[in-house]
Amino acid sequence: MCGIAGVIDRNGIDLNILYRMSAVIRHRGPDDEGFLTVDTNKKFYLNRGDDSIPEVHSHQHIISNFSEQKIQVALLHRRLSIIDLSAHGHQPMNYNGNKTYIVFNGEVYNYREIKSELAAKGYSFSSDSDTEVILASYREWGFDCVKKFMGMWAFAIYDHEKNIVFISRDRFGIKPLYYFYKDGKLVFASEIKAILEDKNIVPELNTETAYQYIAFSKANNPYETLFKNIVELPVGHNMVVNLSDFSINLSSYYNLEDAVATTASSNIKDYFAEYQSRFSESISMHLRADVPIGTCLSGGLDSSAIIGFAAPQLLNTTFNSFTAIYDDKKIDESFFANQVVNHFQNIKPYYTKPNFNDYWKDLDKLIWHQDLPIASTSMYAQWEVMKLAGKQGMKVLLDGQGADETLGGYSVFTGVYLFSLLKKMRLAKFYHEQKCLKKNRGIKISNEVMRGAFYLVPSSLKKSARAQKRVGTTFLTEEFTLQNSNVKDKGVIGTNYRDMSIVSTKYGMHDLLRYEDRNSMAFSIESRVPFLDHRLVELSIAMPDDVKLHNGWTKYVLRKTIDKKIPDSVVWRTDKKGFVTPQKNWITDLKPQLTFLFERSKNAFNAQ
Amino acid sequence: MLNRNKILNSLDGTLDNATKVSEFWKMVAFIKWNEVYHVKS
Repeated sequence: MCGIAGVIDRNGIDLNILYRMSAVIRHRGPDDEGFLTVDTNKKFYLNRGDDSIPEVHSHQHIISNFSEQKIQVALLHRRLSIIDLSAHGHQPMNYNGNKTYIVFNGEVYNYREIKSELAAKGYSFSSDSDTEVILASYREWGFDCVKKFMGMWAFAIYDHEKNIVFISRDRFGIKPLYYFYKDGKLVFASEIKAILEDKNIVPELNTETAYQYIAFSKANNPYETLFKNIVELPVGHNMVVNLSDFSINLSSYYNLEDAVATTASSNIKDYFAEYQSRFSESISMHLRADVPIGTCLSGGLDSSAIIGFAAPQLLNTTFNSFTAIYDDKKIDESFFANQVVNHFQNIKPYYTKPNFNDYWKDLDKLIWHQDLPIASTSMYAQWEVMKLAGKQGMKVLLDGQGADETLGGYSVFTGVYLFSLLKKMRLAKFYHEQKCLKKNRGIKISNEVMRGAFYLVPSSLKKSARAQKRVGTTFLTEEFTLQNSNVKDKGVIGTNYRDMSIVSTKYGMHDLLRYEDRNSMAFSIESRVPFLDHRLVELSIAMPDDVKLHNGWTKYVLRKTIDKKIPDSVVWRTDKKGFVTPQKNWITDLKPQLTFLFERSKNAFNAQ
Repeated sequence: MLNRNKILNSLDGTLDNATKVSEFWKMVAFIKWNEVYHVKS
């Protein structure tokens, strides 16, 4: 887990910019720093920075005058050492002395298996890092190497022979990669703030995406940002930069719909056994590290499930858990978290109590780290959890992101499921499930069915109804609302349980993964999300609906998987909270500070 | 772009449902983000 960035410019690069880019994302990798620069004669140089390890101090400093030619390619890496802590893990790294260099952010968890496969083909390795395995994989399989990887990544490979830079991002966007591209100049980075260190790139508001953010809480194209001209490399995509003409070419290497369809038709006999097997394997893979691993623990099903499988595998080590708790009993989950903690002998719990004073104190810093606005205060609880873990010196945390999207944990899935039973005339099953749901979750069935029916109406009507219903323009001026009246929510929401899971995984999770990455990296922590192992995701979405919602239990297959592994009170919990904060109370608690903010601010009020 | 009076008025506890409360905090984050990143409009 690290931070990467790069500049590719036919007109030459000011290396002071690269130096600043590295400094501004230091939190992503304070353990080491390294640069690769290539001049117009294709001569390349390895450079060091202020934080580089002593072993590379023979390299020239990045802002020293080492080439008489213009530098046209520059890559940078900030390292958070997690696998192979030695100097062998220094980046930019090359493979076996050839002229292919990589800067890599993330983890390829199945690197040991791929390494064995490559070793059988005659490849040799000088480190124990997954980074070297990526390079060897690229040499063997070319751009298709990413299809072999299980994990999270954003990386850039400079290939001297092919005269290209190959850039890739993981299947679900767990790791970020933003870029600016104009007139043969590409600037990319793990975080937008690094791109903005190039002062020729103005932080200009994209008013259309700003309106979408306010009105719909999302952008129609999730890969646009609120900054004009700064976009994301879409998930499951590669980019190739041709250094002959400085053009870029994007291509998709992964299609979730196709992968789910393949899994659905693979004739799996026992979904429960298969889920347990893949979940268990995912946890084992996510525990691969050369530093201690801890975990977030909300007290809910997902984080508890992770502990249920991880804690027994870490029996001889202390497994630290981190939980947000509150005085307000309506949102506090410490009872459930403690049940899990007390169930295992090797868990050492830590608690934090998010409050409005600290929230206000941290808000500027939090938003700076996030790069973009946040949609609610609830992610602040996650920020506080990461802060606490950082204070304890943790470098890796597990978290439960992705279970709700892939298994249909959100309440909207319930309505869709019930309505589908009615539509198929499975009346006895409908009656049974609605009765169980009412008992387990106390939900109003008629509302859920109506909501389910809504998702099945023709898309044109749905878009119109949704646009009316969801537009959050309470605080906008009439003029700005009118100016953007033609901006509609494209409302990609799916029409059945499986489609909704796909959409939820591809788009709904998008901002949550940004919060996860930035909140953890702000405290130099790598957050790992075992529910997003792509083989588990594909199975989760492909499984029949009634494996996921059964006898009134949502995420039923997960509950069965962890049954008897963690306390019943958690496995068979009927309520759902997630990261929450008492945000209504905080408005009155923070009234003086908010009044001051609204009275002094100019930009957001004046923008047109 | 944003209506200052509407936002100021909402500080008197008049936001009576969760959606409006969320919308309010979204505005706060948006204003703060504009300040932190010196966003040009």
